[in-house]
Amino acid sequence: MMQPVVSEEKQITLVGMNFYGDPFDARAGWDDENEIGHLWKRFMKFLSSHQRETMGKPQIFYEVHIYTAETREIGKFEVFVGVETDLAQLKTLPVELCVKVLPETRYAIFTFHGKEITTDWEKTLQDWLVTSGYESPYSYNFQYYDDRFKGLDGMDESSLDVYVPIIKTA
Amino acid sequence: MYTQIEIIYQAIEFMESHLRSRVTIAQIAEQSGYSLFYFIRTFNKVVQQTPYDYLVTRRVSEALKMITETDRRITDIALDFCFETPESFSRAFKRLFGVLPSLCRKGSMPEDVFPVPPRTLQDLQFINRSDFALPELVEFEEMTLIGLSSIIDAQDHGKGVDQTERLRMQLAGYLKERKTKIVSVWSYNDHRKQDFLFKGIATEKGIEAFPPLIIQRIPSGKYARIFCRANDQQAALHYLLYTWLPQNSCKQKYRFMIEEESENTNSEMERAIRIPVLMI
Repeated sequence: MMQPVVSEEKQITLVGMNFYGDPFDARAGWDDENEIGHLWKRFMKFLSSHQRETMGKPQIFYEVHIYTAETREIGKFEVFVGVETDLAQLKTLPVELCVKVLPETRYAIFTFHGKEITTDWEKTLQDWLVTSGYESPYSYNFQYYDDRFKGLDGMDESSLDVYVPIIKTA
Repeated sequence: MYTQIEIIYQAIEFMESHLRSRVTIAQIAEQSGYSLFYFIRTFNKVVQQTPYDYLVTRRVSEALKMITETDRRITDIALDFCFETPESFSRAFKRLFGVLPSLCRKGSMPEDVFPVPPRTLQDLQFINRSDFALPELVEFEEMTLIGLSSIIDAQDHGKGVDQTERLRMQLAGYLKERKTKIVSVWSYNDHRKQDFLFKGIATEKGIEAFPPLIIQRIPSGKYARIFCRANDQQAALHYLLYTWLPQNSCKQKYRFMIEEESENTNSEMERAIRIPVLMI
């Protein structure tokens, strides 16, 4: 079974854009034509035209999936894409963007390579949690995209970290 | 080891057995062995519909059958199919069929309201074939056909296949030119559980036909056309009617389907299926 790296406690503040619903309604493949792809396009377009007002030229991007009771019931969930920011430094925020403050917590960090990225890695996270001595106190996880991710066309050479918030099981 | 399509089909069977009992998308995902996220993604990819949409569509379709076939109160039918209020049922019903449930009582059902049947494994295999090509909207001119007609038992697929073959053989006896392409016209009516099948060949306008041959005029207009293999006509028609038309703001104009041999003889997609459509 894949073993993650466990991080120290940290709080992460992100600025970005979100989508709520079933993002695969129109297209479900690993391409940029589903709603997650549209969200990334919208965010990247905004970033490129508003760099000075926002956060310069970020190198690391986050994709957060937030599940609610409605996700279990009808399959809708929130997807937030963004970049890290320092809330104290944030004097103004363009109206197109919103802020997501992820709680202070430890994370189990799983790294997936190549074809693993398009498999059911959430199942890997769930299966690990069952026997790990940890549980997830929050119903979200996020994907951490840095220069090891080579884009949808370079998936075979890519690596992707997935973070799951954890606490020790009582 | 099941394929992804088979796993999703099993999820569909699970949904079909829970149309009248509460079930969440998470429970259906657990049943499939996938995580919730992966299940939602895979279901959308394989079925081309969200799992929740599928569940609601099928619940409303079965409710429609109960409305037309029984005297049970609509409020009770709504509760039978797990709608929390009659209003939420009416909204879902109107979104799918364009009319309120009360207008679909026995004997007064609008002609163009039909329940959406459950997806079959063949339906899923058809839309997930590597050579599957999306339908296209094509303008066709009026066409005159001469041929034979028969009633086909739509409930008994095996019997229907025999009847279709018999009609083709009978028609062949009347044809002088054996290589002429045969056009099939299926007129179907889900309420009567019968299909009318006409098989014929293109002919000149105004020609006379002597019994048992008959003339069939196919109207000009916009048609949605899809190519498929010879044994995939049913799945192709299902895809056109229940996936492509709603997703493209189209309605079927008349309840018939035309099946022709494809002009591309090198392709395995040897059949062209088309239905007349109306843009909404």
